[in-house]
Amino acid sequence: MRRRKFLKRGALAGAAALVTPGGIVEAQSPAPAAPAVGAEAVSPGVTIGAETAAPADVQVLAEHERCGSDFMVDVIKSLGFEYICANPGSSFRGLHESIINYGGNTAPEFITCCHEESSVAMAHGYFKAEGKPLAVMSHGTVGLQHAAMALYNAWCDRVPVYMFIGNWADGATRRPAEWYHGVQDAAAMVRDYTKWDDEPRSLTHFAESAVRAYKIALTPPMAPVVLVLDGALQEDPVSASLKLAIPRATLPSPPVGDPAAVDEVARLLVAAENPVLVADRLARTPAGMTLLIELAETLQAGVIDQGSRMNFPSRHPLNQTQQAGATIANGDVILGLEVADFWATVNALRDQLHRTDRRIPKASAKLVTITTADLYIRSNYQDFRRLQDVDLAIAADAEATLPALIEAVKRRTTGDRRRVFEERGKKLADASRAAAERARTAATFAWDASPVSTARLCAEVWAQIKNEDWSLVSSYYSDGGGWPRRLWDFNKPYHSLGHAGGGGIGYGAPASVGGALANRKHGRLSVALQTDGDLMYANGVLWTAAHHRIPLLSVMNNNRSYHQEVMHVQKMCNARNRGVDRGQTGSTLTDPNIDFAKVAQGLGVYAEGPITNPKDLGPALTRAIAVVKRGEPALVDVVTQVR
Amino acid sequence: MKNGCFQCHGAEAQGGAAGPRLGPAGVSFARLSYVRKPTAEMPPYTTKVLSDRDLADIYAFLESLPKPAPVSSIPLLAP
Ligand code: HEC
Repeated sequence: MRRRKFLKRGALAGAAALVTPGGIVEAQSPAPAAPAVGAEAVSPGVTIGAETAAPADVQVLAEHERCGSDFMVDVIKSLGFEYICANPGSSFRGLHESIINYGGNTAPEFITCCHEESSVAMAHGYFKAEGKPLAVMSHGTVGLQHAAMALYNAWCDRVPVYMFIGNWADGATRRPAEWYHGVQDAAAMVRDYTKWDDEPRSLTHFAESAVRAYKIALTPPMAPVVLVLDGALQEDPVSASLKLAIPRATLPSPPVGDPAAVDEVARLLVAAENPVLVADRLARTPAGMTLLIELAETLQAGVIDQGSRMNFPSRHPLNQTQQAGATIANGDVILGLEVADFWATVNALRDQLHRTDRRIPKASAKLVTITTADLYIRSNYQDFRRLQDVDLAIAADAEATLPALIEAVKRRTTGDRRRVFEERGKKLADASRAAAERARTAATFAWDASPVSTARLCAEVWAQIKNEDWSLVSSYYSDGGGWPRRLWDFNKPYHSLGHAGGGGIGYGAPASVGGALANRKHGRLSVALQTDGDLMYANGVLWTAAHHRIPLLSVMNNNRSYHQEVMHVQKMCNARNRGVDRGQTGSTLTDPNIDFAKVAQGLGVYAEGPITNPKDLGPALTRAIAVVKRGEPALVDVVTQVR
Repeated sequence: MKNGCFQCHGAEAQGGAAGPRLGPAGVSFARLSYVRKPTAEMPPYTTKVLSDRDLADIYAFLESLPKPAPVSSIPLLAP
C-alpha cells in the first residue's frame, strides 16, 4: 500500500512539475494538508486532481511542513560526521541545501571537491588519520562512475567510506535537463567492492539504513557503504509534526579470536627460536601499535611492518622491516597480523618470461594468520593471489585479539624462556642498528646529484619536520623504495597513513588532503610526498585544499614519468630481446615538462619549483612550511632521480 | 647508464627500490656479466641488445663515478 502511494505520488508530482507555469507570483498559497498517519514518505495532497489543476503558483514549504532531506541531516548529524565531501550535483540538491541551511553547514560541513574520485579518496585519507568516516555525496550515475576507482581502493584498504548517491527512481518525476539520466540499481556498479548498499523507500527506512550502513561500514572488516537517496524522498515535504525515530548507532565489538586457538598461537610463539610478527592492516586504532609493541617486547620477537597502517615504530630495536627477507627466511613461527598478501610474505615470485616462485622460510616453519580477511571475500573484484598453506588460521580482528594473545604469551613464559628471549632481543637490536647505518650510508650515494636523489629529498624533508608534530599523510609510490621509513623516526599512530590499498593511482593527492583535513584540528604538520603521475589525475583537489584552508606541505617526487611502468615495459623489452632504448616510450611525462608550481599556483596554492639543485631544497621547504603553519597548503616541486 | 640500467639502478648507479647500487666501485667487471644471465628479478640483457663493448662502457662509467662523502660529514644524515 505504501509502495503504491509512493509510486502514485511520484508520477503525479512529476506531471505537476511539468505543467507548473514559471515566473513569480505574488500570493503564497498554503500547500495542501499533509496526509493522515504513518506514511511519512508520501508527499502531502498530490491527488489525481493535481494532474489537471495547476498547483499553487508560489510553492514554498508551509509552516507545518519540513522536507525529507532536513530529517536526513538530523540522522547524518546523529552519526557524528564532521565533513561531507561532494562535487555539487542536482540529484542531491535537496540534501545539499539541508546541509548548508538547516544543518548550519557544520558537522557536517560541505567540502567542495572538483572530482568524485577526490571526494572518496579524501574520505579514505581522513579515516586513516581520524578513525572516523567522512560522508561523500555524488550523482548516482556519472558521479559514482567517477568515484568508482577510489571506492575500490578504499575497499581493498578496508576503509569505510560513507557514500550517499542521488537518483530520481521515478522516471516520470525527472526534470528534463539535469537528471533524465537515472538508474534502476544505482549501487550495482560498485557492489562488488562495497560492503553494503540500500535504497531507502521512506524516511524511517532511511534512518534505519543510515544507521545500519554506519554499523556495517565500521565493523571489521571495514569497507565502504552506499545509500541511494531518491530525489523525491529528499525534496518532498512531510508533516513537521511527524515523529520519526533515529536509531542509536551502537557499534558492534569486533570479532576476537577463539580462546583455544589464541592459546595455541601463544604456545607456538613462546616455544619458537625465531618468531616473526608481520603486521599489515593491524593497527585499526592507536591502540594497535601499543599492543604490537607489548607483544613484540614480551617475546623479544622481530617485527616486520608492511606499512598499510602505522603498526610499529620505525626505530624500535625489534623492527626488522629493512631486512624482511632474511628475517622471514630465518623464522620458525611466522604470525601474520591482518596481512593482506600472506602468500607474498612467505614466498618470492620471480617475474621473468616464465614465472617461478619459491617458499622463503624453512619447510618446518609454522605459519599462522589472524585476519578478518577470512570473514569476508568477494568473487568478482579480488584482492588476493595464491592461497598459502598455513598451520593455524584465526578468523578474527587481529588488534582485538592481541590483548588475549599477549596475556596467553605472558602466562606461558617461564624464566628459562625469558632468558632466551633477552638474548634474541639483543641480536635483533644489533641487526636493526646495522640496517639503520646501512641506510644512512646508502643515502650518501648521489647525495649531490641533480635531479635530486630520493634519499636526499627525504633527508631534507626530515630535517625540517623532525621537531614538529608531523604526519606523513601520503607517500604513495613516492618514497623512493622506503626512504622515509629508513631515515625518519615514525613512532606515533598518525606518523604514517599507509597507501591506497587497491593500487589505483590518483589516490595520493586527494588522500593527503583528506588526511590533512583530519590533522588540522590537532595542529599537526601534514606532509605528503607527492608523485607527478598521481597528481595529474585530478589535481583540482589542490584548489579544495586552498579553498578550505587545509594546511598541507606537498613535496613532489617528480621523476617526470610513470616510472614504475617504464621498468615494467623495459622488462618486456628484455624478455623479448628487442632492445634497450625504447622502453620509456609511452610512460614519460616530458616534452613538455609539467610545471607543477604553476599548476598549484593557478589553483590558489603557494608553490615553488621546479627544484633541480638539491642545495635549493632546504630553503624552499622552510618557506613552504611557514605558509603551512599559517594554515594553508603549499607545494614544492622537486625534480628527482627516477628511483 | 643510457642503456636503461638507470631505470632500476639510478642515474648515478646509486641503487633504488628496484635495483641495488652498482657504483662507484660497486661491482667488478666480472660481476657485470650478471646482466647476461640474471638469477633473480633483473631482466636479462643479451649481446643482441647490449654488446660487450656497451658493457665495457658501462663499467668505465661505474668506475668513473666519484666516491661519496663519508656519512659523518653530512649533518642531515646524523642518526
Ligand atoms: C628492471 C630493473 C632493472 C634494470 C633495467 C637493470 N637492472 Fe640490474 N638488477 C636489477 C635487480 C632487481 C638486481 C638484483 C638482483 C636480481 O634481482 O636479479 C640487479 C642486479 C644487477 C647486478 C648485480 C649486482 C650485484 O651486486 O651482484 C648488476 C651487475 C646489474 N644489475 C647491472 C645492470 C646493468 C649494467 C643494467 C643495464 C644494462 C641493469 N642492471 C639494468 C634490476 C634491474
